[in-house]
Amino acid sequence: MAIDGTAYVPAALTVPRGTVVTFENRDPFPHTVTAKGAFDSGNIAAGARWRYVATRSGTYEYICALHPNMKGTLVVQ
Amino acid sequence: MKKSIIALGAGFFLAAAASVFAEAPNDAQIAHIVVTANQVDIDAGKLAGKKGSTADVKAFGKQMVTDHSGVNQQAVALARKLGVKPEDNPTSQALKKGGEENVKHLKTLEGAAFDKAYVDHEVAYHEQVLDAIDKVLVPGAQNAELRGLIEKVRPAFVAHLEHARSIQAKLGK
Repeated sequence: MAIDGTAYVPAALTVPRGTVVTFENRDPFPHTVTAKGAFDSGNIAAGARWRYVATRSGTYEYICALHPNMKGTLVVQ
Repeated sequence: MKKSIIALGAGFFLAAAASVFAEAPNDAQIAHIVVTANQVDIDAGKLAGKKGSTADVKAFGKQMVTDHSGVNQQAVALARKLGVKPEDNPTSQALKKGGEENVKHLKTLEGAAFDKAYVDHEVAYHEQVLDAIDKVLVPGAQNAELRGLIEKVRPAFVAHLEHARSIQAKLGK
């Protein structure tokens, strides 16, 4: 997964349970990957990566806490 | 009073833009405008990070410093790579002057009055910059990488505008 141009690319992703999802921030400023009550990356610095182990099935809508118009969906099967 | 200052700042920017862009800006001028526009918001953000009276305003100010500094580092690096030397121009000068006037005005305010004036200005400023991006900077940029950089950072400016509007709505309550 990339974070590029203040957007999640792709905006929707479906993975099997147990997948390690890596978010790479390609923007020159921090972003977060925040699904209320489920997961929160905290600030991912410019050029940095954050890994999430998708252990629980479900549909997770997430946003960037710094740029709340950034929206993504992670479906864990 | 505050509204009139914002309107004046915005009007000044547009008037300057219109007069300069009777002749389209070249890439060296566009690079300078990008860097100046970011720097103006960094300067206001630094002040808000210190003087803001609510956690929201302080955090927003600090984020403006971080985000716009990041964009500027990238813009300066790209200009260097392309061999473009940013060139001062009346639009940059108008932006700088408007930014200095805003900071000067904000320094006279405290507490809730500071927060409101800062956030109101952030809303107006990001609206103006987005307008300039769409009407002048993107259509004017000749170099594809320079245009690409402006297009890539545009959504962050939209996010800042929406964020500023949400703080503005909260402050109004």
